[in-house]
Amino acid sequence: MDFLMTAMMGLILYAIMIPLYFFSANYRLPKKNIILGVTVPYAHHQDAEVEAISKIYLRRLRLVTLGCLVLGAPAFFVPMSVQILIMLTVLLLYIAGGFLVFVRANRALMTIKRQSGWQGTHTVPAVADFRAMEEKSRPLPRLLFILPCLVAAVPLVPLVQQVIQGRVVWDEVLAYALTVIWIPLILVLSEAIRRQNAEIVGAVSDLNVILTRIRRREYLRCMALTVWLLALTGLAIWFQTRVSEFFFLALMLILTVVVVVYAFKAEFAVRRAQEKYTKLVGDTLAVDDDEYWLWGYFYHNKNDKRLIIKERVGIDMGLNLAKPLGLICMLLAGLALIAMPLIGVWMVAEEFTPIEYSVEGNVVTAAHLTAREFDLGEHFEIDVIDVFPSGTRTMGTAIGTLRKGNFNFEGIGPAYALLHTDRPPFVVITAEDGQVLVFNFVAVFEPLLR
Amino acid sequence: MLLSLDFSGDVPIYQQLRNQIVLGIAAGDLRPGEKLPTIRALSSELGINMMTVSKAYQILKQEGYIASDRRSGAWVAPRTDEGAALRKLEDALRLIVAEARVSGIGLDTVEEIIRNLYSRPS
Repeated sequence: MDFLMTAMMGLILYAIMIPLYFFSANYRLPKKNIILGVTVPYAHHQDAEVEAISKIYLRRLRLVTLGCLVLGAPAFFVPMSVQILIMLTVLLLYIAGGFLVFVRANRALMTIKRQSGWQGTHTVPAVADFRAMEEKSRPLPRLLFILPCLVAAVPLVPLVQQVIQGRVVWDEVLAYALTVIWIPLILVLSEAIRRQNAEIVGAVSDLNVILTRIRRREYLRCMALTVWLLALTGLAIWFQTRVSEFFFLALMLILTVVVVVYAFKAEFAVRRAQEKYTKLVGDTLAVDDDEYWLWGYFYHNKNDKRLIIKERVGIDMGLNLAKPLGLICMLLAGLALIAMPLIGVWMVAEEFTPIEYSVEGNVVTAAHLTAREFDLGEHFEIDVIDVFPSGTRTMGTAIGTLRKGNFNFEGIGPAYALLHTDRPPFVVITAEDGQVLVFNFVAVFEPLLR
Repeated sequence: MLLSLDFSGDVPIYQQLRNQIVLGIAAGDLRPGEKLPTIRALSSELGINMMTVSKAYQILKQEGYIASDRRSGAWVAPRTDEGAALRKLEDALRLIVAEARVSGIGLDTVEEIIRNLYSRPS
């Protein structure tokens, strides 16, 4: 069973990396006359030098992908925290490697474009199609958003009952309430997306209207799926203690796969339409704003007042780096990406640092990376149990056998735990102020039993 | 109606907007009564300031190409005042024809250019 769980976790890496490969490889196919982030006139799409760059790009991308797939293989055979460290590091390497390959191909194609004089003097960077702008995608049924709101609220019902009974579980209530609040926010965002900028593939308004409709519709569906994912994840976390850990992990894997598959399906539906209509309209409109796209990837245009812009290819949105806020957000996103493996380092430290307990008078100290003191008071109760109780994690860590943080245990109620589940027996201490502590039973607790 | 802007050109953005909408009306891409995008939507679509679009719309309204009110937004105005349009055309052509004469361009060539432009407005 442990091996199956490790394997499932490892599969998540591959479930992300393999679609990412197809996503990146698709940039070499012309959409809106853009190949690898460079606007190439329709007549030159099939030129030998353009095709050569596309082939080199694909070959390098395959090498990077294969290398990362091999590097990620050990993730199937190591403890959970090390597995996550490997997964996050490999994912960062893959994103960085794929990006470098893209930038090299973009630079090479841009050089050819300049040397060949493909940069037309009549090109225009900003275009509006009045008819495409007026396209109003039908809003999705409200029920599609209301139902997940109700689903997300299910865990709140027993929690509110516990609050009414005087058992304080506010942090847990807040965690689930946040999921419910997110959903209406996404609904508001989806309304903004219905009015996002039109897609322009050429000087044929009918096709621009159709493309705009496809893009907006796919985006809305993605939003609806995100809402359902949020609701179901909340529910899955709530069910975590009522079902086996294996079932929970399997459920999370299925949800991840569904979201990744659907997001890519939406992205490729738009890309396919962009590719198809590019072939239909050819060079009917010379839109070329390459000068505003750094490496064909980052948008920087001082003349553009917008902060959020739509990417030229696919369904995605991006930021205008000429705006200070856009630059700050992009830097933060970059830092978060680079810091991804640090999460793995922290998890390894969490899993493998030994727990130390000490008792001085009526003060218990539990140390694990940091030390925490608990004053038991004069009148406290202490009990020893042989079986680790089941319960929900409110806030804290659950890696491998380590349980650290606030939990809500069956038969005990809200408690702070710092222990390894595979080292029974366990000591349950109820302090004078009502706080409950659950630790591994070690020799230092023996004096408290007398 | 497709509208494109050139940020690197000498012509101000509001003037480019105004000119292209006039061309669109002349070419039949925008018909009398047809609604124009709102100022907010057009500025967001092109990534330009709302004031720029507002200025272009104001000029078009003053020139009688479009009409607007607070509730319905802007729409293409029906062409009723032919006399005013003729006077404006004569004024605009007077300088252009004078320049053509100074440059030695013959009447036949000027007529041919106008005929071509008239049949293909955009």
